[in-house]
Amino acid sequence: MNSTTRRDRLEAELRDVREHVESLEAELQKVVTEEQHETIDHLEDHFDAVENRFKGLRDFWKALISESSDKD
Amino acid sequence: MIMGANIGTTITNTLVSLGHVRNGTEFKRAFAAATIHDFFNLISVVIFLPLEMMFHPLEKLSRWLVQPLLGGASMDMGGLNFMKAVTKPPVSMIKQGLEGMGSLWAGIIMAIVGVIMIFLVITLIGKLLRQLMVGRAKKILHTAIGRGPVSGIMSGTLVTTLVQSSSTTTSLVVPLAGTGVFTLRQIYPFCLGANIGTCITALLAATAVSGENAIFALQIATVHLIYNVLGVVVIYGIPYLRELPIKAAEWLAELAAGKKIFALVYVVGVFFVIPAVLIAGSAALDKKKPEAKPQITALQISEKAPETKSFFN
Repeated sequence: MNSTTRRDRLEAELRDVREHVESLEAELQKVVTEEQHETIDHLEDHFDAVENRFKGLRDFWKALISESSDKD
Repeated sequence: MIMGANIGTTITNTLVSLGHVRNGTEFKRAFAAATIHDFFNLISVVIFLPLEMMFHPLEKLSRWLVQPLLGGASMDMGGLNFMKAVTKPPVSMIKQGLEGMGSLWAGIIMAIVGVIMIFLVITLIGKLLRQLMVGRAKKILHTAIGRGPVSGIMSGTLVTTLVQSSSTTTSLVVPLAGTGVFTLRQIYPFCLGANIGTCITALLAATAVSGENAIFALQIATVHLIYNVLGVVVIYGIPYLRELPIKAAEWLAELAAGKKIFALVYVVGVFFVIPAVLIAGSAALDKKKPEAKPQITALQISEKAPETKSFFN
């Protein structure tokens, strides 16, 4: 009798935890989706990245040189 | 060449990803987002190039698709030459201005000016298109969020068709992935859509070609479209193959984030050294061959249907 009650209690707790995890996952997904929509709203800012790709290449070159000089 | 063009066009987003070098995690994510497209295109070549060389499926399928169009109505706008009406007056004006220089020098100067103008106009049109289409691109992307990979592929196709450049669309998603707002798996279908969208531009351009070569233009544009659609269907459709570009991109990004030299070796190797070696190798093989058979593809179609050949004249 006692063990059945304990088992029921554990199962109920597990159900609660699962429901809580599911609701947290849904909330997280909502936040992620909102972030994605917000980023897309500023899509034009990223066009600069395409225009300035050679500047980016210069930054990469500097990082590469500094990495190799650190090694020496 | 089409397979090579697919690989070559991905260098732009790889260069964009290198700009994220200042932040280690951001660089890793951005570089993976850029190279996933490269790996997809490389795998596509590995699968389809031997198949095409042995069985010519792309050639046969494109021929089958283009053949019915031979009997159709004209798709070109040859009769309505709006551009000529606009460009003729300034061209005549420049011609008159150069009259005293002699026809040879005037011709050379006009050719140089023409080439410079083409480059300037292409750059300006690209910038204008981006500004004009950014609103629509945003709407498409907003709609695609949270709707799965097929929607991602469709949105990539539509955005690329709008901005008329797959390198622009795939470069756009690199910073989005770099910030961590979009995952590599969310970016992946979008890049595949860009591959398809870029073919639609070529297909539209092919419909504007008239004369004897129209059939070749249409067939090659169709080959490009079939190749990229089949690539998506086969590689993204088979779960094992689908995972390969993701794993390869993540592995390389991990390496490149640790040591930047790997990123440099990858870019130089994939986009410059390997193509150069392959070109040199195939040129050497061609020299050894006694006589190459003439390649007849689209021409055979127009010869088989002489009654409809006038469409292309």
